[in-house]
Amino acid sequence: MRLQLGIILACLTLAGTAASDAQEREDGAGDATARLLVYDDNDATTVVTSIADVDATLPGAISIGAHTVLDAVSSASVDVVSAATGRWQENRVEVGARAVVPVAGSNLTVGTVRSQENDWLSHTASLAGSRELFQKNTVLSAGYGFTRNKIGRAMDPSFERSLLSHSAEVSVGQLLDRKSRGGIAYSFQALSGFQSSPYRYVAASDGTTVPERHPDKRRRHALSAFVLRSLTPRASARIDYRLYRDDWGIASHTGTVRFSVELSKRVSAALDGRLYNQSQADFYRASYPTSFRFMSSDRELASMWNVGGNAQLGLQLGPLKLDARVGAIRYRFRNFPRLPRRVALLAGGGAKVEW
Amino acid sequence: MADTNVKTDGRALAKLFAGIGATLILSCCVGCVRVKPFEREAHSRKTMQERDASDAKLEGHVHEYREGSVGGSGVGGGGCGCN
Repeated sequence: MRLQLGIILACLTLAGTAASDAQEREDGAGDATARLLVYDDNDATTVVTSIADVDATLPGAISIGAHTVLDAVSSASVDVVSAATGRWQENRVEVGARAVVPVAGSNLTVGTVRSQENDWLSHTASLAGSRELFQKNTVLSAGYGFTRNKIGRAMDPSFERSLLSHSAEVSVGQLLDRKSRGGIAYSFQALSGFQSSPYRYVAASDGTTVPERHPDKRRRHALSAFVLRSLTPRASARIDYRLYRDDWGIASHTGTVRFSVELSKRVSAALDGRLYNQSQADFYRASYPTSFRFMSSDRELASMWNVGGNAQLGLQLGPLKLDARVGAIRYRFRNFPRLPRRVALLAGGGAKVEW
Repeated sequence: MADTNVKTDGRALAKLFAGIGATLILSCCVGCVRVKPFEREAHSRKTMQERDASDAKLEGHVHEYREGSVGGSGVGGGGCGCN
């Protein structure tokens, strides 16, 4: 499946966070985190994702970290029905390591990630840097990552495709006043290689059925901004917006609002809402009259919107932080007749200990 | 019916994004009053801290495989200046 495609940008994000954390810690300090999230929707798909992550600061302000992610997927969605197979289950295992090194007033982060499923293997290498400027009023960050994917098909050893991905991201964070800060980021991803599903077929109205065919090249751009403001000594609000375009014709807008409240010295809570809207890819059709050069039955390339929200509760007991969350997302696919709507429920929690 | 071709408007798109980005960066860096270290009490409060990285990763994980868009999540890091 295609669970790996977002890894590279996530790596760059984590690299920036790791660099920021490393600046604040003393030698020997560190933290360990374990987290679990369950996604369950009415399209017969359940995904259980667990993360374990550890960071430690060494002498010389060098920080090292490692993480592992396990996705356990069980699905009998309309995609599977259309491919004439039954419910399938599979696991994805991701492992990664990173190091943050201070160099001439900046922090450089190098990282690597390996991800494996039964039909997909990927390796990622990333390099990122960040620097504080103007008495720490401004933070500039930039990163680059490269991923090589090897794609197979279950029970078909003769099927082998490749997909290469180059990603870059630049961002600036800025204190806006005594109570507010904000930032903007631009990210770019260039993909080259096999980007269809090895399992999906597309049926045309004239009776022909062909394997899904997506273009081999894709360039994706995202520009995002946020403002975070302290409302009272115990409450803050954050607004995020992202504009996305790619050369497959998809344009999207994403808006997120998050309120955080400190209920007591130990207990905190957060509420967030997210609205997402996207246009369809140029070559996507709900039905094709005949065989076209590019054909897709991927609902993620259809015109769609979704709205969701989460409630989160946190508890701090000395060096131990615990949190739990519940959420829901309602999807509406405007031109994917087999699944016009989908509702997903989310539940999860985490534990983090610092030393 | 004619075949469907993918639009290749990448250059125009890149220029548009670059223009928006440059404008925002300049307005952010030039237009803002500098906040001195002793004025950053609000920035050091618990509710102003960045979301836990693994929590944010999971949140992104939920969306990135169910939507046609990715990226832009790196904006969260940095900018506090309160350490």
